[in-house]
Amino acid sequence: MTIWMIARGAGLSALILLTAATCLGALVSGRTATRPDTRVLLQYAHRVTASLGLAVLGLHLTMILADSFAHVGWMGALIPFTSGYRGLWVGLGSIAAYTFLLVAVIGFARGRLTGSARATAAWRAVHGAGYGAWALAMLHGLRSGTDSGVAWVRWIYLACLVAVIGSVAARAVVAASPGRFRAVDGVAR
Amino acid sequence: MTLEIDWTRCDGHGLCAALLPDRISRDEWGFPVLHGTKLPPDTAVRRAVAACPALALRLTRT
Repeated sequence: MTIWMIARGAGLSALILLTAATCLGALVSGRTATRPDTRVLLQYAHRVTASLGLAVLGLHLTMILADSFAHVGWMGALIPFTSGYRGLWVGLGSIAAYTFLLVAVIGFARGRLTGSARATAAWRAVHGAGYGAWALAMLHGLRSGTDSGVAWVRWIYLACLVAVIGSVAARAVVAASPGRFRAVDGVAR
Repeated sequence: MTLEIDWTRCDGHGLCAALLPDRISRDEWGFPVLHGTKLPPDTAVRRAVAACPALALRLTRT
């Protein structure tokens, strides 16, 4: 029973951390913060929450596999849509995990990839798959999560949704606003 | 190692100058000015390359 509770708690914690990483990613990519030092800090917070989120996601997976009553199994977890337990929604979780892993790997390799013009051009589109992974993770949690009916858990899902929509909207508003070069007013002349 | 700026990508975000204040300053529009391009391949330089929001910095072996 303890294993099952850790599996559920880790799933929800991973969702919260990866939501934070998604929001911070949206906020650092644009000029929502104008001071370069603030943006460096936001970028590091993005990396820390993403790394922690993936670690807790690993715990979630390990505990699901360790629980003999969960009926997911190695195959069900690794190959999407083959789980005996809520196959479709568990499958979305597997796809989300693979996508987050890919997004994290190319995020980690970011500095090295700028050596190649083609990799640099494709980087943003591939890293942006993280938004899709986040949406799949939300659906996975809501539809296969044991605790999705609990009121405070539902508030967490709602908060995650509002946070990501708000961050993406803030990014879009800043990107669309004219006179962005006014953002460098803080530079000493 | 040589540090290069891809001017077609650089948007003057200024994170490189914040991370490498001794090696990079900013002009009046916020765009980076390199104080010499030959750099040791140290962690601080790699950090700045990885931090660029526009992916406009690259380190090449020369």
